Amino acid sequence: MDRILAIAGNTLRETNRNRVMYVLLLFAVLMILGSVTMGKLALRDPVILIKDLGLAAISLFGMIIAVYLGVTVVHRELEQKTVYFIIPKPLHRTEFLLGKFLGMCATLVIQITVMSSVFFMVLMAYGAGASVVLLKALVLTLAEMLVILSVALFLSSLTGPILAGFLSLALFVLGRSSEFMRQLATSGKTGWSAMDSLLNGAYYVLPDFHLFAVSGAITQRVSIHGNFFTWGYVGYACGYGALYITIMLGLTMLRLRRKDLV
Amino acid sequence: MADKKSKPEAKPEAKPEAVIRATGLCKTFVVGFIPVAKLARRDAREVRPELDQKVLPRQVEAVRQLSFEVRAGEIFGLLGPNGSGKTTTIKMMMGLIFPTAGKIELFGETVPNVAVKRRVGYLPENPTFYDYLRADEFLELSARLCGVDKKIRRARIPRLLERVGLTEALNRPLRKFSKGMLQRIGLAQALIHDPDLVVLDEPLSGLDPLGRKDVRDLISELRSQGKTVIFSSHILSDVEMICDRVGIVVRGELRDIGKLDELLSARVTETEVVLEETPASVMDMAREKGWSALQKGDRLRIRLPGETDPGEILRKALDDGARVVSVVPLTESLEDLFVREARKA
Ligand SMILES: Nc1ncnc2c1ncn2[C@@H]1O[C@H](COP(=O)(O)OP(=O)(O)OP(=O)(O)O)[C@@H](O)[C@H]1O
Ligand SMILES: [Mg+2]
Repeated sequence: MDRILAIAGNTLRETNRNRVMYVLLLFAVLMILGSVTMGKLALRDPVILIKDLGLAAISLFGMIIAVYLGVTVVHRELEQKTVYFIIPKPLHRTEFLLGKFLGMCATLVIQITVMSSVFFMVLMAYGAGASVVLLKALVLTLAEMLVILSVALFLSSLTGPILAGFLSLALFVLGRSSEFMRQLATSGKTGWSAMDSLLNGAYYVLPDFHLFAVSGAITQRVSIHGNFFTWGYVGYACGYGALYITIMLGLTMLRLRRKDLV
Repeated sequence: MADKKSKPEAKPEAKPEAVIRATGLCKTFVVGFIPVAKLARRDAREVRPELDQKVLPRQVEAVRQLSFEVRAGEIFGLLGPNGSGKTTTIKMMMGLIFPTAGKIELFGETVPNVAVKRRVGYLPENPTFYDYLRADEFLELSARLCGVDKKIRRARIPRLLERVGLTEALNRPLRKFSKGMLQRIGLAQALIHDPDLVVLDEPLSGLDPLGRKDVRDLISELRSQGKTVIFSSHILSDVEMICDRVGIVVRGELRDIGKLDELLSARVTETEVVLEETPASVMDMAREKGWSALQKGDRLRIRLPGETDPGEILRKALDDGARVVSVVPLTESLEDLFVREARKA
């Protein structure tokens, strides 16, 4: 365990030195602050808009950061040949992967924390402050980031970082439309049963990111403005996320286990 | 630098067991993309010979049928020209890449094996490490990964840093290290867990003459502690100085293996005669006989091939008033052997 933590700690240290992360964080903060101006222009209650936009910003940039980490961090280790140092040490390749993943998770937690702090400060300026429902939303967002991270990590074990990055983004978009896919499949509107089964299959195989989508009234199933947004639901979504992450890490491990590190 | 106190005579395997055993080890790298011929064949369900030739996957046989053993307590040198497969062999030893055929065992276990890795220290070729870590932090990380106790760590890290001459660079990030310094910190991390087997891929490259001497001394010191060392190198004089046995690898094949004095024929290959104040007549004689003669300053070096009797030229030289500086019979050097093996088709 100490070895995994050592690797995780070192990974966190490396990502914390990465300038790209700070640039992304800056953009996220700008977007959250920008929601204030939008709030002023809005006809609706500005707080609702700030909440929606702020959560969307955290979710969007969290997603970008997660994909970026997933496709670059382990790849860099291979590219810069630091694996020659780490793999011959008395540890399993699984431990290496888990350590890297844990380190990236820690990075994401820090990033989300920073973004949320800015978000809460803005809300407080409007006298709205933090609330349990927002906390639930952030937990869901974090869970979603971790799932994307594991997906990006797996894809980067199959192909180069750039392609893996684009594929991850594509999967994210598809995953967010999972609800739509399922409805389309069951409604029979496609009029083509093969298409229906394909959509249904995609619904089960692709990560169901719709589960985690919280911001805005546009989403039918959950919304921070709705009242059916319970801890039970959050737990269910996190459980689903944990399962998906486990599968992704398992598949990545299968790829890494006998891979020639040249 | 080993902690003799913390590990009191931890060598129950004093008998000369095989620490490394490679049997029929092969590694073929496939370079280039998926063989298009195969794909075409699968689609068209027919053999198209004109495609076959063009697109067979290009393969590099980096290591072919390598079998050798290194016994406990030995210093084994792996020699070979560039691209002969030394690094590939070592990477297979360390579980970084997997053999195409054959197997490699360390301490009787097929690699990769975590219990075995605990007893092995490894210095990669041209090492790169996490360049944002300071020297001491880096060794701390290495020690943690090796499961070295905190107490031992604290004592051992400064000692190792001192042993490899980096005490002054303790606080510097590895990013600011020179090539030789990286090589030194690489050695330190390889030894951090007091391993029984030390695997060094070109430990002497990038070091100045002093540094090379340091590392040679370090390797000899490891032997006196009963450790087994295998290292690859091109620097033959160093190999000659410290190795018990060497293996010569050329194009992935083991050409020769054994004790140095057994490999090098004791036969005199050349006799070198050095003269001063040599008159032209001696030079003429050398030229006539077809011996190589090289004038450098006021010294003339004449090389007599094989076991030619030097008497003749010496007599002539003395008669004509030259001064004899030295007469040295030369036996085959490791360099000769190396060149001979490398040139063989
Ligand atoms: N990842 C790889 N893909 C394809 N070919 C490779 C790969 N790694 C090594 N080779 C080839 O295998 C052969 C042996 O390479 P290797 O690095 O083992 O040589 P070496 O003996 O260590 O050489 P040097 O003394 O220059 O370090 C070379 O022909 C090299 O081109
Ligand atoms: Mg090499």
